[in-house]
Amino acid sequence: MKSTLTQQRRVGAMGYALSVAMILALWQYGSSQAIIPLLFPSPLSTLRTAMRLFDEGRLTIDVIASLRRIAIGFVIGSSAGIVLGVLMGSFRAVRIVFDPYVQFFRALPALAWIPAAMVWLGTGEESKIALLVYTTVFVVALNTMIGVGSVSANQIRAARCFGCSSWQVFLMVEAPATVPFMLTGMRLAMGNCFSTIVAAELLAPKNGLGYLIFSARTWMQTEFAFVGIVILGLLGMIVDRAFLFATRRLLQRFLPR
Amino acid sequence: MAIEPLPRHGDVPDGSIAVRDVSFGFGAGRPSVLDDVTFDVPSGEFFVLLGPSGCGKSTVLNLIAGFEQPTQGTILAGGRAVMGAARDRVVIFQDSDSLYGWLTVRDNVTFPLRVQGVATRERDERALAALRVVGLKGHEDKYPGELSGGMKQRTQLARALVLDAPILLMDEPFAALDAQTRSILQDELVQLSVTLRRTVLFITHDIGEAILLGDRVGIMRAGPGSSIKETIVVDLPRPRRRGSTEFGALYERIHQSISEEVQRALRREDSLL
Repeated sequence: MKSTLTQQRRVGAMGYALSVAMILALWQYGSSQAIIPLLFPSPLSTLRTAMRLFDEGRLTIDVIASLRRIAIGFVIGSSAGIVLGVLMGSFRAVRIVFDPYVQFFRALPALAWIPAAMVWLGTGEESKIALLVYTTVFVVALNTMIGVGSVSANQIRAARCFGCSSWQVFLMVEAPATVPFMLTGMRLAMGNCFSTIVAAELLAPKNGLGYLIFSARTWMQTEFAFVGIVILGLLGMIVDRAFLFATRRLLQRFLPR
Repeated sequence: MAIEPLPRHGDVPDGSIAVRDVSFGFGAGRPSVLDDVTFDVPSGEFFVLLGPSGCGKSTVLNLIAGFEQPTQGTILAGGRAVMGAARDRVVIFQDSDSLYGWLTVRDNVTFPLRVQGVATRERDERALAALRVVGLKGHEDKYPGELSGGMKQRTQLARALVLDAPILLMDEPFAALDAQTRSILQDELVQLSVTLRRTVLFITHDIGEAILLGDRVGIMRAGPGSSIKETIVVDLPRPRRRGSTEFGALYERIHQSISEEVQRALRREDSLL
């Protein structure tokens, strides 16, 4: 008997939960084998530390600080990336000029720019946000450019048959066609931001999850590091899922049936 | 299947096409695609342009549509010179990639009306009428990605009909469909063209299709530097049966003409080697 979608979903969810439980069990076991508990905190002690930090209010401050930097860097980088991508996709001259740089910088991680950022922009918020903008703009630009190119010649010809001016072609055909590509670029960029935030928060901040992770080194509080790691990972996952959920309706029409 | 005529919006204007001494090429040093093409399509006629692959049939359509400019000669549509794409000549492409994947069937069909600034209620009414005519009623909320090849071509057709353009330019619209669907759509197109009396320029390489659909068939020479070899009137009463004797006789005649062309082209290539 073929299983229904609900049954399949239930089995999937159970498998997911089982897998997570297994990892936690492995973690617990691994940490219990550590010669010095300090070196490898158990899941339980990590959870306890997290709750303590939360009660102190520190955890909330750190989470908000990191998310704030990511949000600002992401919005600025995405806006710039979309504009750049549209221009590169629409005008051959622009593309020829910018393409080598976009490719070059996209491959170069923000981490490499930390010393330069520190010297040029100091250790305040600007340097961290600049790194996040950097890690966002090129991947969004590239995906947007590809999106503009995805518009077929016949789609534009058809629009012209219906009396579209160049501006109408842009607004009614090219822009909507590009949206799913923009969103893909933005989703990738968001992942980059979460990877980069830790490096960015090497630049002597006073708060943030990256700061939390690194501060553990100073006082040998490995639990702090683990709290930071787990929360950062969870946040990254949640934001990514939220992004996917929000864009699913828009992207779904493009998925082949 | 009963076809309801599309509601009329005023008199159907002149849909005649005149192609005079048209040549087209991609520049010096490259062989010309078309050389002195001349033919006329009176308003309301179903004209089929038939020819072997690569003879430039699609180029003729692109020139009439206004997507390209001829290097020589003139093209008139509705008595006016063709200056570029315009809403009196709507194209239906072979590959339905001209549909907009992010819009539903209904929104694809109302797109031309939105461009023209038609009010919402009238837009929806005209779109639904067009969808009924092409047999897509009930599928308005689907996306092109969910449609079969035949349904996508019907959507293109509905979209083309909704602006009441006097001229329909169809570039091998059924070539990419399976034989079954192709046959069904051919029959429906015949019924439709009888009811709507638009001017249709239909490109195909399929002789049977040409005889089934066309009032007249223009046979093109093999490329490069192609032109019209001859024009044959299809004097068979409608509905036409693919199996009838007259159909077969006409098929033979046209097939002979095209084979001559293909032979000539091969001989020409041989002589160049």
